[in-house]
Amino acid sequence: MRSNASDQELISAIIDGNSTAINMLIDRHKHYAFTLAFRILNNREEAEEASHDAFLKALKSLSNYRNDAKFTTWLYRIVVNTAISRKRRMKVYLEDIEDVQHQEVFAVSDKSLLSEKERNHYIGLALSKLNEIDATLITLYYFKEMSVEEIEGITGFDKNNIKVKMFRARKKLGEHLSNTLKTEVTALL
Amino acid sequence: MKAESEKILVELLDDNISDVRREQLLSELNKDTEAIQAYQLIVNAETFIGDLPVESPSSAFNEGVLLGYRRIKTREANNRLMTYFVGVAAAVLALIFIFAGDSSTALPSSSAPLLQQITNRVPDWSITLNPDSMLQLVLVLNAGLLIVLIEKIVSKKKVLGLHSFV
Repeated sequence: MRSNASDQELISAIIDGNSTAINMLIDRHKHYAFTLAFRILNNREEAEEASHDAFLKALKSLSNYRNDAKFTTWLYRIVVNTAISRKRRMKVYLEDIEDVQHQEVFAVSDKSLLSEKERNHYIGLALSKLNEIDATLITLYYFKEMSVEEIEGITGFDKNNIKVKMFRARKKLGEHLSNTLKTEVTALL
Repeated sequence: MKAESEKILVELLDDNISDVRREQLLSELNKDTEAIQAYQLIVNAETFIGDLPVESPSSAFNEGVLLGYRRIKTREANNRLMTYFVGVAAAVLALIFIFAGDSSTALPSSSAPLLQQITNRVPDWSITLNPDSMLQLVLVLNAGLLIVLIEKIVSKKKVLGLHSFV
């Protein structure tokens, strides 16, 4: 199987029983699928299981996949639905140490002092404060600069609704980031 | 924040608007300081965020999916086999009942064990098809087909597992 085979070629090969193609398709999309589930669930183990389930559902119903939508749109829709269902089933919400960390005063005065890891940590923390719909929209929007049309295909919301929800979600994210990073980095925000 | 300002902000944050339109919208916002602050907050936050970090699943991710996929395929094959087996068994049983005697003895009514009744009738291959036995045959075959159909519908629903986003 060629490494640059299109998603559609891989799908055809999988339907014909090619297991190498399954591996290639998973490799190609697992990072984004996992990230999307992680942003909704805020828990690595749960996110891994949700993205697992989503891939299994997708593989199992590949023969039903119609080529009229991008494969990623179809796959992400399954990931979002699976993750949201899982989140709703979760009886105990983990009030983990992130809440304690949230109270920390982060003493930096320059963006350059923030390592990539720290930056990601604080972005993740702010995202985890959003509800699942807001987190989904934000994640999709900043993923590969997804268009509103693609987000519409994944979430099922109409365009205008997405724009309004996106604005509110971005505003909340900005507020959470601002609160998390406190006054020391106000200059950065 | 005024509802009107929110509408402007929604449009302002659309990546596809022109610079001229952006300037125009910003000037319309001028009187609503809360809205301007919100806009500034979002723009600055986005500068800070840059590209959203992409997370990586564990190294055993692919193996887990493949293993799950193989299990599903095996289970599906087993279920299909079992369904066909039940369908065929029902049909064979129906044939035995129907061809083993006339309509009055087509179904067991005495208290003798079922297997014995069937065995007793098997040698009697006098074909006495009548509307009653034909009806029984059709009913049992339909039941077999129905089982196969239900299995297919149920397995498809389980695969999709999609629901509205809400």
